Amino acid sequence: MQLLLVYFIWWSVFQHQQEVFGYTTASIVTYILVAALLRAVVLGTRVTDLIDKINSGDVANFLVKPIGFIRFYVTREVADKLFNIIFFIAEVSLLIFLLKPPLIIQTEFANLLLFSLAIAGGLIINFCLNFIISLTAFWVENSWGPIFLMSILLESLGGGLFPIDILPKALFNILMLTPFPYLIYFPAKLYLGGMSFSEIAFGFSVIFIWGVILIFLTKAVLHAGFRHFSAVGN
Amino acid sequence: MKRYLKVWWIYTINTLQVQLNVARWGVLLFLFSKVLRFGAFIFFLVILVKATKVLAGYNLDQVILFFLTFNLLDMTSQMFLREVYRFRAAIITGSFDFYLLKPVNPLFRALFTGSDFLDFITLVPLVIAVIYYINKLHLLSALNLAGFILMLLTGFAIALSFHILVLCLGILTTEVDNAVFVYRDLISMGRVPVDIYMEPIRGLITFVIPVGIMMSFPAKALMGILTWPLMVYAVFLAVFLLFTSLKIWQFALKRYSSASS
Repeated sequence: MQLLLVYFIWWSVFQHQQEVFGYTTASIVTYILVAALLRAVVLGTRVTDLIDKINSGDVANFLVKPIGFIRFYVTREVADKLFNIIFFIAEVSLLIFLLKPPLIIQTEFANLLLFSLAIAGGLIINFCLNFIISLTAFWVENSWGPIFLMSILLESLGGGLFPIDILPKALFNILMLTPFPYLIYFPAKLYLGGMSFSEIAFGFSVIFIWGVILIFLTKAVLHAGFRHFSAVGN
Repeated sequence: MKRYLKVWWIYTINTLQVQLNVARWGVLLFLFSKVLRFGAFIFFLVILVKATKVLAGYNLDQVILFFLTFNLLDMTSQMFLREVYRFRAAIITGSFDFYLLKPVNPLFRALFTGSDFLDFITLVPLVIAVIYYINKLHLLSALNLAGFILMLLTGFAIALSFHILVLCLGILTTEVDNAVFVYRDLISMGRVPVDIYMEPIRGLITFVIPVGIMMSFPAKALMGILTWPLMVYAVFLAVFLLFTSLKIWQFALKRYSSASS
């Protein structure tokens, strides 16, 4: 439904104009569909189940099992994302069949490679962000507030609702320093092509820096959480 | 009526106390996130409609009024009907048995006893914003206001019917959460005037799944562009949905089998 809402807002805009904010009908529709794919693949996560596991004390079961805690959640994420892709294909196929929108099919190998690399970076960032926030359940009663805030930030400022380059330049530049645009906006723009070398290099540098920081933080917070954790009962 | 108001008040205060004592920061973050989501969408609409001048034939102020009306109805129904989101737990743990034993209508207990008073904080500026835009667009006439209030009540009645149907589904199948998500997803299509959708989707979300009636009709009534036959249709549909949902509630209650020991 979110996909339909965004699609029709833009569809309505392009009824009377050929180009808005530098986007044509085909490029904005492609952006919307790629953003929907990225929402399913990158943003869809079940890591947040961890909050309930910590709150209920079930997390203690992991401590006695011979499996890596982070590896377990990574494996589950992969399975879940495959599931999401199946639903996405069904949903978008129906949309394309019914609405027959103009689309840009990217055929340049370099663009597709960069797109795939950006998705991989986005997956790591999103996993770590959700994992770290979920781990705060070791210390606070309710971690759903920060999770909800992050989902709103990703949706609004990450490019889920609209490509963020339509925002004022100063705000856009600030946002590009945060991890949020690298989950939807940046990969979607790479798919569309037309980004300069410096923009691409800057984007991947930010992904790398955030990736390293978040991976380090994930391990540190998990370690601190387990040291803080205590469980009673059977 | 007075007794039920007292019961509602006690439950609402209890909910507020739990929120402030147990999960104060989490609740504040939820509140902040909602404001952020609201602000981001308004910001998007402003940027978009400033560049295009109109959206589906409406100017920027009118588009914002549609969005404000959507929020007014959505937040009001969420504020009063929040307990529905917790109904699954009552069913699968069997604590719904206690709803049936108490001298309070179980439907009232399942719908209204978890009202989220914190939503009221966001409702106040929203009402002020609606009044501001009514004034700005020179829509202040007794007839328009009467139509607006009537359509808001109609929208709330439809939202109430949907929530009752979700409760029925909960009793019959123990499934509540996904039904609520589907409902929330559907009504989110009303954040903008339904005129942006192409046919047959527009007809579908106006007359079959009455998102358009709930979310777009109040603003259209306020602008004086909603015809009387459509208003009458909306009222009849709301009454029909409410009546049907209450009948289904009775049906579901008869099939309730406790999950407790």
